[in-house]
Amino acid sequence: MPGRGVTILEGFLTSLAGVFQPVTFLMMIVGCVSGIVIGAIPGLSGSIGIILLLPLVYKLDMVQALVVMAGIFCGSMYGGSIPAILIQTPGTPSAAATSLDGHPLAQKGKAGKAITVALIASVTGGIFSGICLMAISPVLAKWALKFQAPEYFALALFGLTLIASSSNDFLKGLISGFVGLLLSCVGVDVITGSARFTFDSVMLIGGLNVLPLLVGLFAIAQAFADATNKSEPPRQEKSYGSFMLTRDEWKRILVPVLASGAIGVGIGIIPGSGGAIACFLAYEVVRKLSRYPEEFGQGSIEGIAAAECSNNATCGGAMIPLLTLGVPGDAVTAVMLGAFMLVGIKPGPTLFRDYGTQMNTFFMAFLVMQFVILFLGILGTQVWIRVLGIPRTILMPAVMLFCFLGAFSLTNSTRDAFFALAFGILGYFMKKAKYPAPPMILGLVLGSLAEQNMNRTLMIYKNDWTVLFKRPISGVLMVVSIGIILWSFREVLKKKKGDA
Amino acid sequence: MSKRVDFFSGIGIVCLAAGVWYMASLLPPAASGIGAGGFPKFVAVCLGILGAALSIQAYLGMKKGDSSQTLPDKKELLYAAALAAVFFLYILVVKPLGYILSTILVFPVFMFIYGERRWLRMGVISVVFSVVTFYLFERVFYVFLPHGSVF
Repeated sequence: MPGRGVTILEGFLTSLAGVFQPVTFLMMIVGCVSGIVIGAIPGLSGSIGIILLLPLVYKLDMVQALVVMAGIFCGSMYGGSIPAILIQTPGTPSAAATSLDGHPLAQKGKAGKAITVALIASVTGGIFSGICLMAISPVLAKWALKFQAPEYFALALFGLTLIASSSNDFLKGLISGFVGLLLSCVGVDVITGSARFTFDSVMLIGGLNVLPLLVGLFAIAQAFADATNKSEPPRQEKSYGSFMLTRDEWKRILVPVLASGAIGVGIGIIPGSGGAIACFLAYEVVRKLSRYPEEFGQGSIEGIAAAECSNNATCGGAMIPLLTLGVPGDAVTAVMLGAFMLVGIKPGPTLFRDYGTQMNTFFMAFLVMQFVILFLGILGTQVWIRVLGIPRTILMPAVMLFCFLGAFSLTNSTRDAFFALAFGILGYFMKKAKYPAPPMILGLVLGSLAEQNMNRTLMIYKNDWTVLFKRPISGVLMVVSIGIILWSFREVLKKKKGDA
Repeated sequence: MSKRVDFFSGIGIVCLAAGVWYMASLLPPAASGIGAGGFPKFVAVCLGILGAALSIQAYLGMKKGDSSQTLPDKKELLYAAALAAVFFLYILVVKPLGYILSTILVFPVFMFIYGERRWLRMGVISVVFSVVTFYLFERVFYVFLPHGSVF
């Protein structure tokens, strides 16, 4: 109908005009640049970036505040890929899977391709999640409401088994994951209030944050290994190769990007999960779909595309429950929720009723900022690649001190810095003994989700375990998890028979 | 040699699992649900099984003479220990001495461990890095770094 079409067109143009208001557009650039910079520094993350820019956010109106926070969120997701590729140190937890293939590809002299794939995949994931945020958020939010305690527990188990099965050594991957689950038990049990594994220490009563674990296991452990393992190939590759992708390479990343985008949005919507889970899940799914699974872990562009597209796709996905229900989708949106309260934004259904125009402007801005990130990524590539040219004798001490700053700034105390160091030592020996670190990270992230929901399930259903298999969504996840474990053991036994 | 590490690490994990089970047993039981000790016990059982499996696998590998990993030698461990010790001392002194002074003192030590031997370069870079990061975090990011309680 012409009348309705004109209304939609008017709305579209109004939203677009709102995005290109000078201050709003400037805040978008500030958010994206800050996000990329913060994401690229190991030890910092999008949530810290939002906290650090709160003094600026206070001064802005609603749309500008939303835009700068979303810019930091999306920018940090892409920014984390840069050190993951160049120096095998993920800038954010969500870039952990990127380093699995990004750095090996850089070591082959193809850092340029890795960065291009990461940028294209990130922007595509962001655009896809922006479209979902705009067009189908009410439907997705309604589906996500069906997730209850059994589904959350089954999801946690599913995520853990998947990441363990992707390790080179499945047994060690599982051990690492379960140690992560154990670490998640440290502190006060939220259901019963009992202190667990605290050894009467004030430092442990609050539990363990994932940030010191990440900083220690990835960055500090790598810094230790760099100082001691002089027999490894030089870490700083001078040849970046071409930044252009061939036609075949564009074709190869198409399916991973499509699949990972959907996974990222789906994971992002589920409250309590986020980029760290999505990147590994998408990586593993794409590896299983790929015609070249043997390349994964050796420099597969599909692996990079999967990880980066999914983590950026979680941005829009995580904002769906945040904006529509007032429930954060992940750690960054949890910080955003706090920022919303401070600046007077009340998320929930009334947000769309009372501020419809502003929300449409924000949705449009979310899409536009992906192109801003693309532009900044293309322009800034040469700048970030120069990180490789910095001598190791300067880069690694700087990395270590940024790790300290990152761990310190979380709570402004040295407690988390001590934890980061302890995990760094653990991570170094894990590296030497070939225990993978990602399952431990995921175990810590998923542990409280798994335990609280296991408890709730048993309390609600009166200790009836079978409910996990009776409910359709949790049943599918449980069966698939068990299937993955059995299939992985079968593969291990087959490999041992082949070696014998 | 590497299978020996797996063998002993597997045993270590079994011991860890036993310790976790014991500590979880001391936690109060709950009227419903799994209680505070239920999930740690579940994890302990899984870790115990996995640790035992790893030790058995490693033992069988040792009998076949399989060795496919490399371990750090004493010199490598010394470098790692030095880095860890300096980092530990840095965290201890950063609050009393303040961020700028402690970083100026520690950064050259890190650079030395990583192989830098040009003293002037170490000094200049340490000062620049300390001051720039201090102002970046304090004035731009509003993360208040220690100013030093000794002075």
